[in-house]
Amino acid sequence: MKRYRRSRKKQPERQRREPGRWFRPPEQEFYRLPDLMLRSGHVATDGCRRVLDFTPEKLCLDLGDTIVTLYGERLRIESFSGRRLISAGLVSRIEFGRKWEGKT
Amino acid sequence: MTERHHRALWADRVDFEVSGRGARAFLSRAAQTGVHLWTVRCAAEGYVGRAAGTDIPRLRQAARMTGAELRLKDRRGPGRFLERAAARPGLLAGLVVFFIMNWYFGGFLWSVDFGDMESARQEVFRSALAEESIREGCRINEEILRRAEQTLETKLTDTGWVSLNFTSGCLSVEETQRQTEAVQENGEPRALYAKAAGEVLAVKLQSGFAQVVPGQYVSQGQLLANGQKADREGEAVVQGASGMVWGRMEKVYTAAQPLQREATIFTGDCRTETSWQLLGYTWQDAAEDSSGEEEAATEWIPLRLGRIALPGSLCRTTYWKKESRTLEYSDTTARNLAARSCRLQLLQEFPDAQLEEQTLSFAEKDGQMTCTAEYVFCADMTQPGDLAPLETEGTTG
Repeated sequence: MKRYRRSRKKQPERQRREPGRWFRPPEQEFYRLPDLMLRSGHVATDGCRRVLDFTPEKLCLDLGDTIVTLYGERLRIESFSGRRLISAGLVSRIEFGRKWEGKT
Repeated sequence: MTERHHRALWADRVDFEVSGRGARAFLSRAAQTGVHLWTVRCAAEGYVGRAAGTDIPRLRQAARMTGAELRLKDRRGPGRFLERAAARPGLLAGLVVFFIMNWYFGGFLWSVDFGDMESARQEVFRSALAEESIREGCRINEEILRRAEQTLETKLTDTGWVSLNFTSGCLSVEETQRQTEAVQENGEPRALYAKAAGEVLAVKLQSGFAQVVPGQYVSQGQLLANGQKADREGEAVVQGASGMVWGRMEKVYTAAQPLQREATIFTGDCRTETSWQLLGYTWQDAAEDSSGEEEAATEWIPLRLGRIALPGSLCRTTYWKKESRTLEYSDTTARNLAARSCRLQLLQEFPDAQLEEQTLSFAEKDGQMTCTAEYVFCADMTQPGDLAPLETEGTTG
């Protein structure tokens, strides 16, 4: 009679050998990365420092080291308080760029 | 201004329009200072949006700092006063709590105002109210008050009218003394006779026909005033005799006082029961065992904090123990008690007697002190009796 074993997913060899990595902090720029969330036509972010440009077709936001530009139609700011901004409208394209190095 | 506060003031909002060179920077500056912007759209010359009415000062400040031109278009909300009040919700909550507590605690009895009532009279009222379960710390309503009023008017027979008014925790007790007015009885057909032998000093008749004059000596049972008199035809004219014949009399009374007597007297021991009443709740100390005869004395002590009355009271009942013992009187005490008994006999027979002389003699025999008192006194010497026969010319001679 043939016996079948449950298949085990093998972990990467490097991760198994270096358990010290488990307690390391994330990379230096981890918390400065742009945080965007799309939900039912709304784009929400928690790190908006400034509104650089705002037209019905374009909304440019300063998210720290990153500049995020939303393109679309009938764009509007649904809510803006502190650094939390929620925009609405028909978003057709999102563009990311470095603040000091120009667009990538 | 927090977002939580914005949600609380959802009804207070202002529509604004910002234009000019710094309109875009205005949005960022306002958001950074804590203003919650919503539904911000592009307009012909700038942006239109909406914010909370309480954030208008911060919007203006952001416009000044960024050089933007701010115009307030429409404002809807509860108004400036309510906005300020809503900015300090503790005041509103305190006001609501104040009225609730005023309504709830105002239903309790905090103090009883007896007005100008004498302290002895206050104790009478206080005990009567306590029997109706009305004392400091209880909850009162109109039905209890009316029932207590009726009960008090029934119990306190010397009170003409009782009023209990309960307002804001204070019970005002008012009463009027019952005024008695002597009503002259209809003249009954009767005559007045001498209660004892003596000398007539004054005749003060209100009705009837006097048969004696001042200075005249009368014997016991002698007619003093008759209630009828014959007219010229010999017919009886009836007028019931009433009034007073003041006379000087002498009488002898005798009373015996035993030198030993069984009596119930206080032992000096007592026990105290205390019950507390506060905000409608009653606590009572554990009662001690009671044995034998006792006499209770109750006092009600309102709870106070300095000069501030509290809705509570303390009821302290002291039970004084009594027991039966044999009392042995000394000669002096026995004599005084016997003389007192003689005096009481005199006052019982002549309530308005005014003593002029007294001669007391004592004799001790068979374990008792006998007192013989001879009194010379002035008093009303009349006692009513049947009409005396008419005096005709033949009888008067």
